[in-house]
This record gives sequence, C-alpha cells and structure tokens, in this order.
Amino acid sequence: MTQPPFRRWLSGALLAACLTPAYAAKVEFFDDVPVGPQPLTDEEHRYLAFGEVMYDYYRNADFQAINKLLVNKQNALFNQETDYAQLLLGDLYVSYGLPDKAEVIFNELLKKDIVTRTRAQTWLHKAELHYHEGRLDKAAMILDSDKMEGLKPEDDAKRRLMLANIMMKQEDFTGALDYLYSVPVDTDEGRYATYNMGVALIRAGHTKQGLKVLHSLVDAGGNSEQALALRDRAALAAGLTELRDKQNDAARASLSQVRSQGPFSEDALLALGLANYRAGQVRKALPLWLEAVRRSKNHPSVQEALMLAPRAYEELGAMPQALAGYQYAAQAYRQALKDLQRTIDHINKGGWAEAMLPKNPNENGLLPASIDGLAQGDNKELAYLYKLFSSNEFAQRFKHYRQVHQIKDMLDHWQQSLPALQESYQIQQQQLRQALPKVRAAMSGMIGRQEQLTRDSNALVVPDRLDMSHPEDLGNAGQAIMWDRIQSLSQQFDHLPGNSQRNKARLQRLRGLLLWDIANKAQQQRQQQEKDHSDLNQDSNILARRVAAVRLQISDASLRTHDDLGQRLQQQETRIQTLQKQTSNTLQDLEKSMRDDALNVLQQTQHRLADQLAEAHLAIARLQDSSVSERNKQGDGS
Amino acid sequence: MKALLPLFSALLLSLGSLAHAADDNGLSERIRQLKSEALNLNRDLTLLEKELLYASPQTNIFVSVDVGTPIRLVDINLTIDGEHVGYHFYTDQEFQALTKGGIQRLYSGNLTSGRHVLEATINGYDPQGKDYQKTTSYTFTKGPGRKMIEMQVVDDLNSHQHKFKFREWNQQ
Repeated sequence: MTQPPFRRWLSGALLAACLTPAYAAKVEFFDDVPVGPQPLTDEEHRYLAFGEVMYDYYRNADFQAINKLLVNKQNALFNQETDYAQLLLGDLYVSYGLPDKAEVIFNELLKKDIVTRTRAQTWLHKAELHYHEGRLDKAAMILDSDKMEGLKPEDDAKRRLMLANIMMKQEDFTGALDYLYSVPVDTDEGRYATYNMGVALIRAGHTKQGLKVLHSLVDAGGNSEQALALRDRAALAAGLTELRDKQNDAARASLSQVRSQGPFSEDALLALGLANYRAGQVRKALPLWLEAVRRSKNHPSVQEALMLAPRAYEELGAMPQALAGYQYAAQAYRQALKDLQRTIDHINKGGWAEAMLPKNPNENGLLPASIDGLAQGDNKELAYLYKLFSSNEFAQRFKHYRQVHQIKDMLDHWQQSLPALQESYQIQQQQLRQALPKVRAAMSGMIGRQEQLTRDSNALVVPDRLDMSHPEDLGNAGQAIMWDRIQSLSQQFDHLPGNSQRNKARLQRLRGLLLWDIANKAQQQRQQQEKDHSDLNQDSNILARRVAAVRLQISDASLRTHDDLGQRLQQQETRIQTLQKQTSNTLQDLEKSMRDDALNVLQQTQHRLADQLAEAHLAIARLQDSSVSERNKQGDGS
Repeated sequence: MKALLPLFSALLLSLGSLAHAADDNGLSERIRQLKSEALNLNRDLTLLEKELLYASPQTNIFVSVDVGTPIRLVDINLTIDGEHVGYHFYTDQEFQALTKGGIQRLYSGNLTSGRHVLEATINGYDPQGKDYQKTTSYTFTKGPGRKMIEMQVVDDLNSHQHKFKFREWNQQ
C-alpha cells in the first residue's frame, strides 16, 4: 500500500533516526516542538481522511471504508493524484464483489506514470481479479511477467501462491510445486496451498508425490487451531489414500497422527478401525469403533461405526453383544432421522439464513472459518450441514447474503433517519428565518465595537523603559489612585483648611514615600503590564476570529435559507424504497438457493440413514433367526 | 465391509475439495448492481447528512496511536469544556486497526467560536498487563474555518505507558 505523503515523511524521519544514532536526539527534538495550529492543507487533510479509511479497512468494515473513499472522492479530496486511495478502492471493490469497477480503477492507474512498486501492486491486484473471475491464463501471464518487479516480499509470496494455484488447476504440478516450495509453509496461505496441492496431485493420479506433499504438511509446525486442524485434515487425507491403495501400515501411521479430540477425530477413528480390520486385526478395530460410537450420533462417521462395531462383535463370535449393538444402532438411526426431520422443518420455516448472521457485521466470516467449533457442539443442524458450510460455493453465497443483509440494514437506517433529517431541515429553516434578521442587525454594531477594540489595543504601547517622570504609568491600581489623590492635594493645598507648613512637609514626605514604593515595584509592575497587554491583544484576536466565524455562519445560514437541500432529501425517499424492494427480493432468492442446497444435503443424509436403519433391522432379524434356528437345532439334537 | 469403500472415496473427495466459486449468473449480476447502487446511495445520503448537520465548519477530533505499540488502549473518554462528548471502548480488532496506522474520528460537531478546553482520559494496559489511567487537557481556539485536532496516543518509553501529543489544523 502506498503511504500518504505525511506518513512517508514521518517514516523517513524515523528511518533517519534508526540509521544514524547521532541524529536521533535531533529528530526527537523536532518531534517535541509544539507546532500550534497549522493551516489545513490538502496533504494534511488527506492524511487524516485516509487514516480514517485505513481504520475501517483494518477493522474489516469494508463497506464503511468504501463509503469514506467515495465521499472524499466526491468532495475532490481524493482525486487523480491520490494513487494510494485509488488502489485501495480497487482492492476493496474486488473484495466487495465489484470486479468491473475495480478493473476500471486498475486500468486508469496503469495508464498513469506511477512509481514502480504501486504499478507492480496494481498489476498484482489486476491479476487477482482475473484469477477470481476464472481467467486463469490472463492472470498467469501477468503474474509471470516483469510487471511484477518491485513487489514487497509479502506481495511476492501472494503472487507465487496464486501462480501455484493456477498451475494446480491447470494440472501443471511440476510448475506448481516449483512456486509452492518458495511459499513459506508456516503461513495459513502456505498451509492451505500445500494441502490443496497434495490433494490435487492424488486426484490427478500422482499419488506418491501427493502423499509426500501431505506428509510434509503433517510434519510442519504451527500451533494455531487453524494450523492444527489443517494438519489433522492432511493426515486423514493421506491415511485414506493409503487405505484405498491397501497400504494398511502406512495408513495406520498417518491416521494415528490425527488428534483424538480434533474436528476430524471421528473420521480418523472410523478409518483407523478399518485399517486394522483390513490387516485382519478385528480385535484392534473394535475398540476404535466403540470409541467412535460414544461420540455425537449425528456425525456420518459415527453413524457408520454404529454398524461396524456390532459386525466386529459378530465376527468375533460375540452374538449377544452384536445383537445389542445392532439394536442400539437402529435406535440411534431412528433418533437421527427424527432430528433430521426437525432440522428440515426448521429450515423450511424461513429466517434460517438470517439466524446464522454474526452479531457484529464486521466480524471475520462466520463461515467457513469458525464453523469447526460449532460443529463439535450439540447443534444438530450444524452437525448435519457441516460439510455444506465448509464448501467454498456455500461460503461465497453466504458472503453475498451477509453483504446484501448489510445493505438492508443500511437502507433501514436511512429510511428511519430520513424523516428526522427532513424535520431537522424544516426546523433549521424556520429558526434561521426568525433569527437571521436580528443577528444581522446586532452584528453590525458588534463588528464596530470589535474593530474599535482592536484599534485601541493596537494603539496601546507599553514603553520599553521604566520612566519615573510618569509614575502613574508604573504604579498598580492602588498606587495610581493614591498618586492621583496626592497630586490633587498638592495642587489645591494652599486653598485647603489646615494648610500649615508642617502639613505641607508631611504631604511631601508622603509623596516621596509613594514614589519610592512605585519605583521599588516598577519592574514587577511593568512585567505585569506587558503580560496584560499581550493577553489583551490575544483576546482581541480571538474576538476578531469570533466575529469572522459569526459572519461566516450568517453567510452560510443565508445560503441555507435559499438552498434546495429539502428537495434533495425528499428525492432520496424513492431511491431508498426501490433499493429496499430489490434487496428484499435478492435476500429471498439467496436464502432460497442456500435452503435448497441445505435441504438437498439433508435429504441425501435422510436416504443414507434410512438405508442404514434398514440394514440394522436386517442384521437384527438375521441374528435373531440364526439364534432361533440354533436353538431348534439344539432342540432336535437333544 | 466392501460397501465401505465408496464411503471412503466420498470422504476423501470431500476432504480434498479445492476452492471453486460458482454462482447463478443472473443472481450474481443482480447482486453486483444492487451493491453498486447501494454504495452510490449511501455516499449521496452521507453527503446530504453532512451538508445538513454541518452547514457551518465543524470541529473534528481524531485519535491515533503509535504504529505497533506494545501497550493496549482499552477505552477513551472525551470532554469539551467539561461536557462529555465522546467515549469509545476498543475491541481487539479496532485497536489493531489503530496500531496499523488507522485514525479514528472520535468527535465531530459544531462548537461555538472562541477558546475551548478538551480533556481526554484513557485507560490502558502496559506491556505487563497492568492497568492504568491517564488524563490530559488541551486548549484550542475555534475560528471561522473547520478545525481538526489529532490526539496522538504515543508510547512513553520511560514509564511503559501512554502519553498524549496534539496536532491542530485550521481550515483557512
């Protein structure tokens, strides 16, 4: 991502501090300088606006991030110069499912003379777009060209991964492996690609190579729940492949590496039991299937194990245990069929898809990432639909559902807000019409007073030296009053009663004392005067700014009383209603499509369970018949 | 037992499913159009709302933190001239967004012109998980143009806590 200029400057400063320790202190010094209010230039404004977009982007609020980019674009803050904002908008369009809009942006950017890294990033985004749209050849052509030069290491890893995936889909496994080896397996992307590679190789008939890739994933590190689950999945896939190829020992070794409480433990128990059974070790297979039987009865592998455990008993000659096992299986299948029917009824009721929405709309996808935990619980619906939820097709559809639902919430919000906005506008208009004439009249007088104050303040000069020929200018308020009185007494002394020589001398002494007192405190008093003068100037400036602010407000208010905002607000009503209808129809169609998929899966499960129930009943009948004929034989013999 | 083999093949296939995106074309196109129109409408309504609410230049207060800080910001409380104007509790996701360079607008409103005092109180955890509280105040003057204040919550390397830095801009 290209950084906005201010951030680049900041990064540059920090880099300089890191590279040259001798200047580090200098950088810190500049950092601490109080800069005070600065003029808001486009660069600074973009720094703040783009920072806000990044906040939304990193908290996964893509819709809000796109909206901020569009609003700022409309306000001409983001324009042709701001490549970083354009690139991010293109990226967000891709993830929001608007590839056409993204392509327009990328093409515009590529026509421009932009820095090499931004150009390479733009090409990468464009290749990603082709990839998601299924245009694999076009994507590969870009990814494998010199257009990718200058990419950051993390983007280059993404490029290699995409190339590996493309080649995998085109069944060019050698090429895919070459790219895959350079992708670190300690990342989630690397792990998934390795797993996909292993499975693709096996499906294409390159079993040996595929198993090698899957085993490399089993041996790789990683302690996150996602890494461990994928490790289990790789061990299970390897084990099942080996089992299919009758490599029982290898299969047992692989399956033993699946965690006993992980999301694939039931499948592994079932398969491990079969591996033992195939090796002729029925006694070793039985405890594994019995362990599986103790797990959730809604899991398909557990449902299989329900029949396998009594069969193992049967082969070991333990007929009463076998009979009890089949009866238990039949009971479990009946219960599972009931649960299944309840789930089908629940899904048919409607509102099913909405109930799956996460509370926080910005939460990272509920499906399929965090579904594993839910599937392990008592939620029978999730247990039956787990495989459906894990499929990419369903995840894509659910993502659309979430996004359209977010649009619905947005429209509901605006529909509720619009009357309030319209009312606010009417009230504002009314108040402004009433207040404006009074405010305008009052303002002209106030402007005159403020201008006079500024003139007086400017005219007031504090002398730069202490001049005792004007002691009244140096004294504080009390001293100045006293000085006035003494001066007045001195001037009128001859006309006053008691104007004796003694009193005249006393008055002169008092005058001298006051002069001494004023002179003594003159320095301090002058400092106070300078401070007061400075404060006065400051207050006068603030008053001037306030007057300017009020004048601007009056001007804005006058424009408001004549604008067409009310009309424009009203026009939005129709747009909101039209989109609400479209949203509602789209949500219904999406829910129907997801419901059909879910019901299809459930009906298939229903058929399978019905078959298993029939099989269990047949086994019960067979054992009971053989038991009766055994007794009859014994009876005949006796 | 032979009947089990198809089951394992199905299991293997389901485990090995690769990523494929497929959608009904008609519905996909409708969704795209709807998204595009919704984005345009949301943009227009946001602009109209701003035009209505901020007919006069508003004051905006933003919050940012040091990129990659080891200190966790828990919540922030904001007052202007003693009146409570904003509070935000940070989820992990939101705080991560801040540490990656995101800037959050904490307050946007119409203030009278003249001098104002902004006071911010933050609660946070130091790298050892110990909680603390810090308060700061900042005086600014609102003039005729738009006012932007960025409150940077930066690491205080000496105390392993946060401290504040302010940057202020006036639109001329």
